[in-house]
Order: sequence, then structure tokens, then C-alpha cells
Amino acid sequence: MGKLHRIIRWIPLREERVHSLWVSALDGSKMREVGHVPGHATGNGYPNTPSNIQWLPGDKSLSYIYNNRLYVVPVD
Amino acid sequence: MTKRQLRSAVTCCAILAIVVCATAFVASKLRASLIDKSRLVPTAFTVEFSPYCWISHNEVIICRYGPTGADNKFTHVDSSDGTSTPLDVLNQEFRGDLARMEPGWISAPPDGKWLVFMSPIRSGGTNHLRNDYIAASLDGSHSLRWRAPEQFCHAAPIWKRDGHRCVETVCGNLPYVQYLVIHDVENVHKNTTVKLDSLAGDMVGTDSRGSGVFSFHAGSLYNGPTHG
Repeated sequence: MGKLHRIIRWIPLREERVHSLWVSALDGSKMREVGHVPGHATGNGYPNTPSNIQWLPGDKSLSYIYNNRLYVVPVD
Repeated sequence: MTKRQLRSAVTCCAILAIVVCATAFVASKLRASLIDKSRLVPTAFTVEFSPYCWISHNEVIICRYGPTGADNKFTHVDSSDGTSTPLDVLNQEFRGDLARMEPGWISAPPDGKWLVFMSPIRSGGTNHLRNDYIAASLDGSHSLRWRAPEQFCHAAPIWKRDGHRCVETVCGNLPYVQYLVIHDVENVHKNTTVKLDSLAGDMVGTDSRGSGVFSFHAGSLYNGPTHG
């Protein structure tokens, strides 16, 4: 919507805060987004963000803790 | 321009606008939601502050925190079906250290044969806290312990790809890494120190040539030596 808003001003721009997980090659190339979660604050006032992010052996997946649970996400 | 041509032009513009809006809407919905792309590792317990490390593509060691320190346990979890198995030998051997463990990290080499963790110890009834690194083979048959320097970086050691050497970062004034100590868990007398030029960042891994990779707070990367 952001790109569209820049072209057609009357399309409203909705502000959206997210926490995104990105990966890239060591030289900064091939940078891409793995995914994102909403960035709004939780009950304690702090945003709930993916934490303790680790590569799995084989370097084809990442794991992270979110909402007290452990997740694995493939990195294409 | 005739009325008919005008009507056609307006219709084309309307169709184009609808297509653009629909494409933008679909694109926004297709933007990757991390949770939707992820697979939940089924565990019978919550992992809010639990340090964990992978020992294979399907096996993860989680330091499970209990209601009291005495309930803290290293637990092997099969990530495909969630089967949890406490590592009884390690839990018994290091029960005192586990009871004192604080949320932080545990670390395993690529082959998953060792586990390194940190144990805070109050020395001599004083408030002075020292920290010991403990390296233990996963089957509990071997272990070694070394004292962390006062200026340890609060970061997990990074394992080299050989599976028996891990790199400890030592800070001067945080976040400056002043030197590295390469510990060989199979030969405690083969420790090596590598002096650095006070790098401000965290060591995040080693590359295929064995060089250390550091992330700086600005997000840049530095490849430096970790060879002894």
C-alpha cells in the first residue's frame, strides 16, 4: 500500500509497525525478508519480538522464541 | 473525442485502477507472516526464558526452567514430534550449577557432542560473583570447567566447525571485544589467545575458512582471524 500511496495520494497510508526477520549473504547480497510479526506493544508495554534466533544445523532454517514458544522457519 | 471513445477510456481507467488496487491488496496479504511460515516445535512446557541449542536438524537441547532452581533441567526434545527426554546424567552431575543458572545461553558444536553453559558462583560467602564455563559431553562421560574472566562478554562461545574448539570472547569495556580465547575441549592445554584491536560488536560465527564473523551494532560485519 505504501508504494501505491506514493503514486496515488488519495489512497490512504495505513501505518503498520512490524518486526521483520531478514537474512543475507555475508557480503550483504541476497538480502531478503524471512517474515514479520506485528510490532505493537503487549500488556507489559514492550513489543513481543522474536528472540533467541539461531540457525539450525545445515543453515537452511532458523529458529526463534515467540510468545513463549519455539518455532522453526525455513530460509529459502 | 466522441462520447463512445470517452466512455471506453473511462472504462479502461476504471478497470486499470481496480486491477492495481487488487494487486496491491493481494501483494500485502502475501507478504510473509513469520508465524504462518513457521513450524511450532511442540513442547510440553513453555520456553519463555529457556536457553536452547540445536544438536541436529531435528534435535534441540533446551534448558527447561522449573518453579525453583532445583527443577531446572537439560531436556532433549525431538522437534518432529515433541518427545522430551531429560538428560539425567548431566542433570544429576551439574544439579548445583543448573540450580544457579540464569537465563542466557547454552551452546553446542555442529556435531552436538558437547554442551557448554555458564554457572554463576558466589565465592566465599561474599557477594562477589564469579562465572564458570562448563563444557560437558552430552553423554556425561567428560567435562571440564574454566573460570570466566571478569570482563567476559556475556555471549555464548562460538564453535569452530571441527566440533572440539570453541571461541570465547573477552571484552574490555563493553561492547568492545579485546581478545578471543580458543578452548579445545579435547585438550585443555591447547588453549590459544588471539588479541584483537578492540572490536565493538558480537561474534556471531565463523565462516568456512575459520575466520570469525562479528556483527557491529550498526549492523555491519567484519571478518577477522580466529586462528591460533
